[in-house]
Amino acid sequence: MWMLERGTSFSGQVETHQLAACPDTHGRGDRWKWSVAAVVGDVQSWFPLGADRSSYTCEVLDIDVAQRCSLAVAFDPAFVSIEVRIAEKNEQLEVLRIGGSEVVVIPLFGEALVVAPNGVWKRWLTSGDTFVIEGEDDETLFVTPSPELTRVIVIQISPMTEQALRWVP
Amino acid sequence: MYVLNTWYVTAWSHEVTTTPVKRMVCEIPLVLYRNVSGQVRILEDRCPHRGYPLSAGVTHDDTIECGYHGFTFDGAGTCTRVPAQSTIPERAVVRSFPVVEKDGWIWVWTGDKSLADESQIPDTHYMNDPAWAANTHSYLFECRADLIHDNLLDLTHESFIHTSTVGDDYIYKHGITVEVEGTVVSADRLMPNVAPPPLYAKTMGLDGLFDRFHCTEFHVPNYHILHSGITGAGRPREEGYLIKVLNGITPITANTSWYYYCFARNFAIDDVQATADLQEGLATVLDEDADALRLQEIGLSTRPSNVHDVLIAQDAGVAKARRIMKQLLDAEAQFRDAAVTATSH
Repeated sequence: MWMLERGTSFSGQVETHQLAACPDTHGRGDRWKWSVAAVVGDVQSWFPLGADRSSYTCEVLDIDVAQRCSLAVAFDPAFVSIEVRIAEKNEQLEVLRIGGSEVVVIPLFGEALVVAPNGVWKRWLTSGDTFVIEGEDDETLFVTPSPELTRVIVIQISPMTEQALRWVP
Repeated sequence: MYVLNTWYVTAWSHEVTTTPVKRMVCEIPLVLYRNVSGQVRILEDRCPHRGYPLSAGVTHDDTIECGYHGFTFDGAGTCTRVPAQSTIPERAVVRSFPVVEKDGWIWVWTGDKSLADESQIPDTHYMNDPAWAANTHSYLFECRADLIHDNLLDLTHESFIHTSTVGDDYIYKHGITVEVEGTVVSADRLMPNVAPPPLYAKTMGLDGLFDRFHCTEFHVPNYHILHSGITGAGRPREEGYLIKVLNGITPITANTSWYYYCFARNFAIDDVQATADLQEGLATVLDEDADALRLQEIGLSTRPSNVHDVLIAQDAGVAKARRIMKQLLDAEAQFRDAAVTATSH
């Protein structure tokens, strides 16, 4: 299963906002595990709702210096591990998602095509969009940046203790 | 709390005549009537004189006359006559509401009049397009509108609630994809190589296996269109038997809602028996939903406030829609607070 949320391009960001998270919504009774956000200004000032300061890691994945906007991922290492890959123009990524893990695809700038190997679905993503794919079975997807100037961040999030991460959660 | 800066379906066109009709939307009492020119007028259903409901009065031309002391108001809510005196009091005004009549539905704008934009009303042409045959219903649901939204965004309930009509036990075995753009949330499920649901199979005259699909497109906060149907295995959806289910969900109070429903199909459109069978079958579906959500409302009424739904992956659309709804409510609350602050200074 996948979810695509269309958003505002990174160059148009005016305030920090969450792009994806588990749980999807804070204050619903679920334990916080990870968040990805477009952070405007100082990344240190960003602290995801529901996170536990005693067990918390934050990584800056990319920065748009001109806009002072950072793409950052915060996670609880007791529950999840993170692996980040970057695809740039004309460089196709084959992403194997192990069942129970989640993959978040975010074009920082430019466009990218995300395709299921069997061709059942495909979607063009543009800067500011967020694509999350999850499920209990293994699957492979291809992320292909457009030939123009493009940078796409692919974050693989795997469970440390649970059998599977689900998106809600 | 309700989102007020939006259009809500408030009646079917055929329900509104020169005889006043009473409705409540978001706890606002409304009176609807049609003037001699055929235009629909909507006013607050409360005479400013003594609070008597205008819906208990009568209409004359473009005006409505209170049935208690005869105060009369035009379609803009301006008082035009006070029978007992020639002077019209300054405060003798009734709130009027922007109205749009389109494809058989009457929409009312419940918020700030200056923000009313007709272009925000969704495309509902299926209700009166000759290429489509329509069945319609309207129901009073004894539950908050949010439960209907959840119900429409998570159709796995069909496997359990609607076993004799549109349910099959394969539905929940297929995952969904969710797309969010602005305030529209779409939850799509493709079910390849399955039997058509009992209700449709009979109408379509089909036997065998097909690709079934349904995509709920929720225009938060009040309207869903369900793009549904079956098509040949591996074939494009457009080639298949298509169904568009239009759902206008209108809050009445915190735990009651109007459900305006239209089921439009692009097959067997001249088949009178099919229309009759569907009318009965779809009423069963709505009865089942109404009953389930009434029970859910009762269950929730005794649930402690610190206990939350346990959402699962199939609820991704539900979760996204709830967030958007909250953002809309928060934005309106902020705007109201700012207005109050400005007024008090």
